[in-house]
Amino acid sequence: MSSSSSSSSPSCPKKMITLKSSDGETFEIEEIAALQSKTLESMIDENCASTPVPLPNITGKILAKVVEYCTKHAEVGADAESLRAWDAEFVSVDHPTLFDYILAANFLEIPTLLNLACQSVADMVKGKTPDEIHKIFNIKSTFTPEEEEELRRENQWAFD
Amino acid sequence: MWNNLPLDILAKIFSFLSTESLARANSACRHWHRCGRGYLLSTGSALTWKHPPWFVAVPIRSLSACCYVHNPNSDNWHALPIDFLPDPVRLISPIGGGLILLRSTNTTVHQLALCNPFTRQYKRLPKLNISRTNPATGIVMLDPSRGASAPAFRVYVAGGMSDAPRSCGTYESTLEAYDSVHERWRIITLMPVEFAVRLTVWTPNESVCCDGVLYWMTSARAYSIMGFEIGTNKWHELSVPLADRLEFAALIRQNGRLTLVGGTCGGAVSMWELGEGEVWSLVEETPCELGLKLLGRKANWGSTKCVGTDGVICLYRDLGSGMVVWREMKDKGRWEWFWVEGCCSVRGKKVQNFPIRAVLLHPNLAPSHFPD
Repeated sequence: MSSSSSSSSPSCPKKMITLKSSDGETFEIEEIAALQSKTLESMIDENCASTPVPLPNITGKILAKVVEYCTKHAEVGADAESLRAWDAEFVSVDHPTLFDYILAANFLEIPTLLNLACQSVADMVKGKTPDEIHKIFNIKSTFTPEEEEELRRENQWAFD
Repeated sequence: MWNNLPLDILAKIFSFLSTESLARANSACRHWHRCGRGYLLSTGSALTWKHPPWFVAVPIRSLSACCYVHNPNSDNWHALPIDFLPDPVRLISPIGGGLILLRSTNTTVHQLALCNPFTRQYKRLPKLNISRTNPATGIVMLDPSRGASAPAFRVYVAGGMSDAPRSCGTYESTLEAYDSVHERWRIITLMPVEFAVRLTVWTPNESVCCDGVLYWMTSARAYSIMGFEIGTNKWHELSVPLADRLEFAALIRQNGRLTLVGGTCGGAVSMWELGEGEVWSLVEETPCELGLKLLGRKANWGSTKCVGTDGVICLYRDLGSGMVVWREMKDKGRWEWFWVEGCCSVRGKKVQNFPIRAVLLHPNLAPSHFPD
């Protein structure tokens, strides 16, 4: 007895693919969740995802979270409000982790995660003076005094 | 760590920043500065909603050291120095890419230029083929060519009084167009002299382009509209609702349609949209209390001006008089009326109340590349 469409049968096991992090850990993710990554989607389309997919630029710690994100966002019937709250929780992490989320989302081409993480960084920049930005992001001002003076003239209006 | 973000990702982060935050981020370090200035703020619809346009005003009839801009996100006024302008100017219209078309006011002969008050860039357009004073000016945006970093546009100049030695004092019947791609003026067509007269004497500079027709409002006692069809070089006239009762009238483009904004004596300010068959339909009226607030102690609407673009319409008078704003709240799916306080002081220093001329501009902190 065969059903015409295997995806409509509830007893059919979900299709999974395996991802392998840079430090050798493997993670299983439902194909449906993996489709949120354009990179993984094209691999699935070209039948390259039947063996573990090596991801040499993503560590196990980050990959675990990325899988968690994609799985959550592939859930049906989640209401927008609670998903937003979940997202906010997801990006309440230290800077190195947030930075790694951005690089991972960029590499795997997950637009929703990339936007979420970038918006989070943008929120940290909003309303801050350059000095505060230096402190928060631990970056050095690399301008010469003359350049600083010219910048001040150009952007002074924004500090009113 | 953050120093090493690839430029395209940093640019994505910056795309979430409003203009004043971006200006601060630009000042953080060289890498961020390069990114912020190289990243051209797109005028695509998604970003337009995220970043509504700013109200940019220049005092008229006086040489001002600053232009005054209103930030819609923070409801704050800022003063931007315009000491980089070689001449006093009057704003005409934004042309995309953060640039404004304006004309020099230290000469009666029509001399146009482009400027971006945020990047402090200024560029004069070449002289017209036929020198004239007080013509009507119209702008048409063109689809940008591939890989172009400056917006593509055409400027149309019609009518005016001739400044040529032999024909000085006569009305100029030619219409010329400037092409930003080829950077030169071309005489396009002639028009009937009576149109040239109306476009010279009764027409302020602003025009609206809709569906390939350039429209100008002319105010010869009763208001009327002149339309120039670009593809066919044909002129026609449009009547205006309440034409002889309007105390001020302005044309704007809203929703892709020609929209007329005008105020009647003792009444409100109304907006009409031009629909099929050249029929005007009333779209909206200012709420009574906001209209009265804008009028202040004035008896009539005469000195009121209007600027509008998709999603926002502003009624204003002087720098300090405040504005009535009608804005589309996309997340609420409707339009709302606001009052915006005028600019009376910046950084604690009192600002004189000038009459102003304004445009709505999407600020661009990335310099345009003008070919030499």
